[in-house]
Amino acid sequence: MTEVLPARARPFQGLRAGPVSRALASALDVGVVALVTAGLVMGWSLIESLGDGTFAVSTPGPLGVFLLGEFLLVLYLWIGWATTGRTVGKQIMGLRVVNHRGELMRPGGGLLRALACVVFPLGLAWTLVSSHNRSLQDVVLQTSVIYDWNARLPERSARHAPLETGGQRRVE
Amino acid sequence: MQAAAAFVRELEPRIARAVLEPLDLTALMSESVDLDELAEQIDVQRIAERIDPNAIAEGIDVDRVAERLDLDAIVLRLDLPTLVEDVLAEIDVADLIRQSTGTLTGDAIDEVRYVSVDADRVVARFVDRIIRRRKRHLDAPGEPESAAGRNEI
Repeated sequence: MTEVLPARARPFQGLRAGPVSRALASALDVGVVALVTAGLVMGWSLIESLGDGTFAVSTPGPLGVFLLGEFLLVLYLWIGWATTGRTVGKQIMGLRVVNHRGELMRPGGGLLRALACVVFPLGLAWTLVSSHNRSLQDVVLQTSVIYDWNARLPERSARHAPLETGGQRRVE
Repeated sequence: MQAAAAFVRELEPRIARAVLEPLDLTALMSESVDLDELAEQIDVQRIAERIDPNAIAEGIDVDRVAERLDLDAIVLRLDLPTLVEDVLAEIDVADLIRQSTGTLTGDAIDEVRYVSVDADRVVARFVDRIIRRRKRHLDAPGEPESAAGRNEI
């Protein structure tokens, strides 16, 4: 089914997204993972409580919860970026992560980007001053976050696929 | 003279009745009069134009007519469950609700996206002004089907 975008939205489709959209999408993603993490911790407490008949939230400690959240965040971002180029936050904000060919990232690239974003989130702030709206992770991994309200998926990047030149722009 | 005239007027109906009563006028009319031909000559349109529906409507006492209606009897004669089912089947309420809520949600999300795109533009201009940069180059790789890209916003 062909998707018809509002005329007002067409001019910026495919351009690199700015810091506000990206920050909002990231905040939504962190919120989703925080909820899942909290749910897991509560669920674990509930299971534990079944043994002694009392319910008390016995967390694995702040560090444990933090590490669990970080692990889930990596997993969540990786799956989103490697499958559709989107997470829930990016879906809501109409953004998509693509590689240097404008195609979906390969699983390895998605994992690297997810690790880079979770380990060094401050790198995302580079979008504020980058002349190409790129975060440090984007610069290093040659990725881009674009406005893409279209539900249609871009093509999957193939390791040895010939680079199509028609209509495709290689960026630095 | 006047007495004679009065006598004739008195007799006229009796004479006419005496003449006509033995006759079967209905049979006579149907045999001798072509009613179809007669009907064709009637200008129904002209008659209809002379009728004033408003005047007729004004003469009707709607309240009185309504009072005489036995609505309960009418309602009881209706097969309401079947009627409601048929109407709902025609309307497809579930689809209607799905479409309307979907559109509302989609519109709300679009508005949030527009606001954030505008905010991106404002923040970028603000930062660019501080660091004295003229503009950003936002050309992205690839050419998404939806893209109608310019290299700046």
